[in-house]
Amino acid sequence: MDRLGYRGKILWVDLATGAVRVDEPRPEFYRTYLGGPGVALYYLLKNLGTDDPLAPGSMLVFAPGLLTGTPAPCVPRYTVCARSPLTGALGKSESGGYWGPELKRAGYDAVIVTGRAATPVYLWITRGGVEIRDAGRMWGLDTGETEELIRADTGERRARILGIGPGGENLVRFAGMVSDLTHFNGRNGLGAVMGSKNLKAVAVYGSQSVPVHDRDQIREIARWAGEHCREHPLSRALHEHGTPLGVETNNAGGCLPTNHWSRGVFDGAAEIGSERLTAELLVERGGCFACPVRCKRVVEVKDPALRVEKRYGGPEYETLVALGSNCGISNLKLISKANELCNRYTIDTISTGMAISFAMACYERGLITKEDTGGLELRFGNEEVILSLIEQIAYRQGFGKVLADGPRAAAARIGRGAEKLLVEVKGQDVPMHDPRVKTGLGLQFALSPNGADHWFAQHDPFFNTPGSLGLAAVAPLGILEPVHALDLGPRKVRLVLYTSFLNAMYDCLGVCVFGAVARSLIPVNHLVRLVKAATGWETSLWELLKAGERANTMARLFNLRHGFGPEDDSLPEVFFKPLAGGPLDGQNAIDRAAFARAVRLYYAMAGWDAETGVPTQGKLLELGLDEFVGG
Amino acid sequence: MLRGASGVAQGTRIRVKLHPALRRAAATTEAEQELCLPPGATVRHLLEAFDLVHGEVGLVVVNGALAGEAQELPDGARVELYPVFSGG
Repeated sequence: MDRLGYRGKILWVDLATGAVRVDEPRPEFYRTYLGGPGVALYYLLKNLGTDDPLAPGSMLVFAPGLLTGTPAPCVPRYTVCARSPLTGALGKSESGGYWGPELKRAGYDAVIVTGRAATPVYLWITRGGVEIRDAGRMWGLDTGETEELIRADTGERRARILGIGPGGENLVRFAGMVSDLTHFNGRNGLGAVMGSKNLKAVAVYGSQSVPVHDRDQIREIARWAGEHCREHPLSRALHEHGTPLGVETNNAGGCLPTNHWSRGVFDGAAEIGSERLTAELLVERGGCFACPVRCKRVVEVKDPALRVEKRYGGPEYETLVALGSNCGISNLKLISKANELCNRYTIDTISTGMAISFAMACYERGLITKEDTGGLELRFGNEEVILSLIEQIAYRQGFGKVLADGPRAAAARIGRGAEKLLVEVKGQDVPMHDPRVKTGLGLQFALSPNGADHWFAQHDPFFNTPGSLGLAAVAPLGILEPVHALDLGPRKVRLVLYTSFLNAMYDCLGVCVFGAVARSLIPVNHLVRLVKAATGWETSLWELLKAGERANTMARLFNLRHGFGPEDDSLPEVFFKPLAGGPLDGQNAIDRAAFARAVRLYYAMAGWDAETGVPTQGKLLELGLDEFVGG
Repeated sequence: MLRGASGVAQGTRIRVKLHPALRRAAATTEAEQELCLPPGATVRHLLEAFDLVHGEVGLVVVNGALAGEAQELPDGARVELYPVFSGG
């Protein structure tokens, strides 16, 4: 059978021995697991023991989606998976850009790295295979400096480079990795896993088009997307204003995380929102492989005191809030500089901002003092501490040492009840969305296998009015009736369950959530057409959603194997209390009992035991996961 | 469909502030504009007046309070419209 859409090769590299091999799974493997987290979880479940995530025996998987690298529009993504050093649960992070497509163009569907190199190395992957190259000169350098050296070393200016900065090298447990300096696999500390392996970067250059069954059909859909993306209100808004538009919306709604989640409105919101960013700092709109939306912000600051280089991109909504309002900071140039530093050091902007805001909350309450912080006055809104704390975290210096192992470790070190100020799930800081205005998001935070994640499923506001754009988008899933944003009954649970399958399907295919419905323009049935055109399979939405469900179920198995259970599927205390400030002041505390019932109902709907959350044997067999029964 | 018509003598006068992402619908680059709608007009009528795609607006604020589509607009109301949002 022809290998169309996928390449049929999975590259294994053992850094301890230097051994390299290529596996060639059967076509049925690809049709079952597709790509991305489906493929990664298969190998993690088959091979990963219960080692320390930063021990040499850990496995790190880089896996583009099934469609990634084909000309399909809005499909640039790849997944990185390992056991997370931040949570101890599944580590999983998606990114767009050009690295994933390049790996497919080099002839591989995934790269699996095991072992620890004796000295720093980087991988150089081309059509001719893989070389393990010395990275001694690069160790200790930031991502921009590293990229320049790798381009010189390989002699290939078109190489796509995914790497880590000092945060990953220093095993900061929320270190990420970045490709082309702007596309971030931010969450779950996977950059620390790279660092633990002495792996500085994975550079790729492939020159082959990915073979497909019907290129004209894919091009026709790509043309349609190109023609319609400026007409579709959501994809157009993403292009023109980007994710930062959420700052103004959430502040008006009284749900903008402010001063470590203690308020829902921020006096300085207008200073850090999309209108100001677009008018004053935006110099370009960036994008990803084969994507007409181009939603990424590129900013530049020429002020010598806060110079921000445009090659590091610009802040997204999460960053503007995590390092802005949630720290009481309304200086947009400062936030942009903080974003640049996090990219250069490869530390996650959400967790970094949350580490700082948590420390500020502790300081404001007198749990820590200047004696603890090395003289830093960690008050909300103190602009002087932001950049120095980022540096201290990345290099594990000063008070940064207290914060660099993640929120739970920081609270344990501080003591004095600091754990009551944590806003995390499974040990990962909550992203900048408040579940008190969208309860389905709360279920996502609780149920996501990789800790609090705002893209485990779709967000409630798209589906709360009849006849809306969002509701029409999910009709092919059988979701036909509007569901109120604050509902916690069966219809909400079903919405979260079905759209969690949808989002997992997106990840397995490599589809970007900012390209496809409900957040953007590509309809789900177009994705079915794209898979048919890429692979030649006579497939269906049912089969592809099943692959998403399969990946989610495998993630559940992975976490159960590592000791996680229903007690970990919860929300931080702050969300069971009312919002403060703004139009919802004193309202919207989540009903604890109703939330617990909704979690149990999700288990039951997913085919998991309603009390233990363990997938039933029947569900595993139904999904074709026979080999994992009893695992 | 209702159309905003400044200068109508009897009706509900409102002042509308649009987030930049929604200003195309108002065929204006101005952040704010005044409209006059028939008496009894609701938020839904206002959204229809702007030709917005249903589901494009995620948040409506009327005189500082969050409002649903069925809410009637009082004369002299100040309305803010924001795009639907998720992710980031």
